[in-house]
Amino acid sequence: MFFEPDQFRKFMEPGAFQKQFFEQMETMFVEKLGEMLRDPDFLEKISSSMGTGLDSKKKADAMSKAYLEKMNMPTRDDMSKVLQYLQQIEAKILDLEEKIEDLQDEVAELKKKPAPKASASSSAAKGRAKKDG
Amino acid sequence: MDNEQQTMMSEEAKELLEKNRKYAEVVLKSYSLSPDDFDRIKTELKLAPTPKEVIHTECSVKLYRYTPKKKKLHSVPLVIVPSLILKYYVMDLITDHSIIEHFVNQGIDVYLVDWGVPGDEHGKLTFDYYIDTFLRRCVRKVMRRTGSKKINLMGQCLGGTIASVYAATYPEQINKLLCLTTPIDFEDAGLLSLWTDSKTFDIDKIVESYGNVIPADFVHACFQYLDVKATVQSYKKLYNNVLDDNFLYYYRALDSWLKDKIPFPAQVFKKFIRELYQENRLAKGKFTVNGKTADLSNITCPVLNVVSQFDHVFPEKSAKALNDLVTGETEYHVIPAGHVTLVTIFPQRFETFRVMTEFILKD
Repeated sequence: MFFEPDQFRKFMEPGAFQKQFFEQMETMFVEKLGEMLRDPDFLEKISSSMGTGLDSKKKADAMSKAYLEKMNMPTRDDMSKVLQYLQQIEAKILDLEEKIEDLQDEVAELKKKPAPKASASSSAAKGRAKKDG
Repeated sequence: MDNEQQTMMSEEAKELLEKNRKYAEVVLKSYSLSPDDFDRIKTELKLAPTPKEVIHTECSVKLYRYTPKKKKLHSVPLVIVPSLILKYYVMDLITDHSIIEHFVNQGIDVYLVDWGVPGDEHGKLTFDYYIDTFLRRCVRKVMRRTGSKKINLMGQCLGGTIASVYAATYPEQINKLLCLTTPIDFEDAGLLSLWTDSKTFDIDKIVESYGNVIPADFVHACFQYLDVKATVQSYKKLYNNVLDDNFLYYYRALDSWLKDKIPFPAQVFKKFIRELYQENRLAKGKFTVNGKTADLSNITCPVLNVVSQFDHVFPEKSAKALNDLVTGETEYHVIPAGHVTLVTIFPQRFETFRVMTEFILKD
């Protein structure tokens, strides 16, 4: 007999093989990937391939831009400019709104203060005005 | 094997098959989500459930006020600044898993700055603009609306960095500062520091190639590799509990939030990587906002710094640095959870909720 009865039962248990397989995979995967992600050589390779990818993207973008311009169609840059312009207008409106609020506050503060009593010179001036009238 | 044993084995085999089928279904569904699916999922799973209203908008930014539940509110309003990397609603994930719901129930007047989804119109907007215009305007709105001369400012993750910079720039507006898993010292700040090193990470080239916004997939590509073991463990946990409906509901809620990624405004990303990660200016007291130095020693108000013990995104050390840089009295708490799980899992989230609420409500 190749297996003892207990071993055979364990082997036949549903999921036992799957469990063992994944546990071993997990240990190996975590260990190796963890090491790789800290390895300066690997990071340099990733960086260089990312650089190549970004260069290709730039070229593809330039090509599609030139194509759209020839077709007399708005490019993404054109759309962005419009959106950025709208954003600037909105910001200006909100800046103005803040200024108006500040002015309203100042007016409210002034209203709260008691009205200054008429000074002697201004009463005299009022008296003169009455006489002249 | 007798008949009884055979029946038991076939039952176990059936369950195993069902488990495998369901697991494959959940994982495939999760990976096939498209940006258009999230509104439907948010309704289906009842994500971000705490009632709120929009009280101010500018560009993609929205300022929410959460509907109070108590008549008498705490005198100082709380403004929450979420991270720019993912959406705000991890702080209001589902009922009973929401720090915002907890604050509202405790009578705190809660406001939240939702950065929205940046588009091409954000192309020229800088980090300084986000702090000195978007956030400043939101704080101003809250102060005018409530009549309060000061606010309590809370930031989560990168939102905490933004909140700290704001508090250092406008210290006169801040009553208390609350930071949740907030990176401050970026030197030797884990794998992200290594990966964004100027020798291998050419930020100018990336920004130039992508233009106005850095795509969400680019920004998020790295996160699942920050802690490979934790990533594998989360799938393992899903597999083991995939037949438990309660677990599955919670898993889908958190997973949907994680997949609901947003792009990063390019100029903001540039300053974030160069001046924070590569030059570590904030911790060195050299970070500026529109020419004004955001020196953290300007923060004289009480500060609560809550960090997670097993943070794989920003190590504890990176967040702890805040304690020594501010001049205000600092309360420091380490929660035995991960970067996100400290506000979502049981029982750790209740400890986070308690610590933060007590800090806000105490005189």
